[in-house]
Amino acid sequence: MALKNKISTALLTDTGRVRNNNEDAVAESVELGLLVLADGMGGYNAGEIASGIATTTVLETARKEWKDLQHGVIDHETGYSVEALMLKRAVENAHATIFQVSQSQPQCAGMGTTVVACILHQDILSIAYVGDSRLYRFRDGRLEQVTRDHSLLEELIARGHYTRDEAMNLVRKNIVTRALGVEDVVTVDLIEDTLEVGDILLLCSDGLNDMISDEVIGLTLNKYAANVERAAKELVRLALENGGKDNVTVALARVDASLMRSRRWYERLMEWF
Amino acid sequence: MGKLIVTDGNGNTQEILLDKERISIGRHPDNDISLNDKAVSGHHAVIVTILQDSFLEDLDSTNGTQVNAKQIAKHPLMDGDVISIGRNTMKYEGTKAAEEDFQRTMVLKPGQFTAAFDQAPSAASKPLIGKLKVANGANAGKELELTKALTTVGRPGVQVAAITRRADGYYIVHVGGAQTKRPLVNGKEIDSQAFKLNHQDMIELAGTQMNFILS
Repeated sequence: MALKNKISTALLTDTGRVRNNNEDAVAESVELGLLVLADGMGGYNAGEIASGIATTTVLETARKEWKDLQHGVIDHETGYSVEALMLKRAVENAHATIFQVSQSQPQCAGMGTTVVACILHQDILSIAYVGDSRLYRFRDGRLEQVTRDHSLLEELIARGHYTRDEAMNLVRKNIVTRALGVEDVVTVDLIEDTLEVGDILLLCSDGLNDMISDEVIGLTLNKYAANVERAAKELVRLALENGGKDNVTVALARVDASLMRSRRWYERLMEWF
Repeated sequence: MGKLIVTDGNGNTQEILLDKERISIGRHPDNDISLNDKAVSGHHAVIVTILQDSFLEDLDSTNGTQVNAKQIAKHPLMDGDVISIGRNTMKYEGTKAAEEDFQRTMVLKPGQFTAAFDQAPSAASKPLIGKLKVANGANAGKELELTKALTTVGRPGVQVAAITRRADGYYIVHVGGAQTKRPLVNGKEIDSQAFKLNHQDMIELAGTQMNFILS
């Protein structure tokens, strides 16, 4: 399904003002409607190796599997679309490769990466993610964080140690509870949601959302909704202006036309009535 | 790594380094900090330490745990906090992490976390299944299990909503853009954001009322 005229995308990454190297990676396939972003960690240059493997492997897996997928089918056992399950396999492949390299190459020992990947298909958005890189959706003038970070902060909120407001001030935000390549197995979270014409999706590394608030992100997307290239530049510029303490990476996708070939997805998938 | 300066009812002090993920406090001798005080429960409280941060948790003790004279159930320890358990006080001295530590992302290994908290896995790992039960009309009583990641309900052209299953629960999302009516949850129209559903919420869509049930 060629989405060239149906979605507009913009990818941008910056080393920031403090770090010497950029451990973030970002990639896309407009053809498949796939975006992937990773934020690597580990000594020397291992962080960028991990994030690079993650984005490359996710894209490769998707390209390989795409034509054999039974598009539009929902897997009965898990309740996910075949596209979402493919994305999950792609992330698991990336994990296995990073883990194997980190085990066999001493200079890569201990490397890891976050990842957030999404596929826009048939007016459904499928997301697979691990760690604290996020996916936001901007719809009808409002920004919503769709993914929930795999972080110590979120765990402590979930366990009742903190309210969200307390946690923002108290807990260090940079401790993730899951990452690719660190342990022998990884749990990938999947989310599926609706996709509407006009939606803008934002994938970002924590170098963006640690430097500027969700409110500023929303206002920026609102202002530059018509020009995703400009919106991406503006988000990165604001993150740098507010400290740029980490690498900052954004990937934007705007839905310009329905991705359905025929009927709307909900007309085919309708459960009731 | 922080430490505790423990002072018992007789004024004896001892210093405890919080070098374990989990340090238990209570009257029973099997505690890491064993307090010989009748006002202290057998297993009274626990301090969980993750990297630099320590968290105090009362284990439903009979006489409770106070921090800075306030009753707490769970409390993130801050440098200078004074914990009172029975006739004992414990002053917490934290360490400041270096600026660099604040910026670098660190991974907490899964084992580290569960070892420290030693509890049932968080709600996310044992998902509840949601279902909708129609409350009015010809379909009253009919149930739909929400086993899919994305389930759509409603009448096309009239009003449609999608229910998405996420790690932390179910969310309802309006479908159809600004020109169509939004579903009601508990009598209130939802906005353009996904709305998290709670057990027993009443959804109203295309004239049909449905109870959201989480079990």
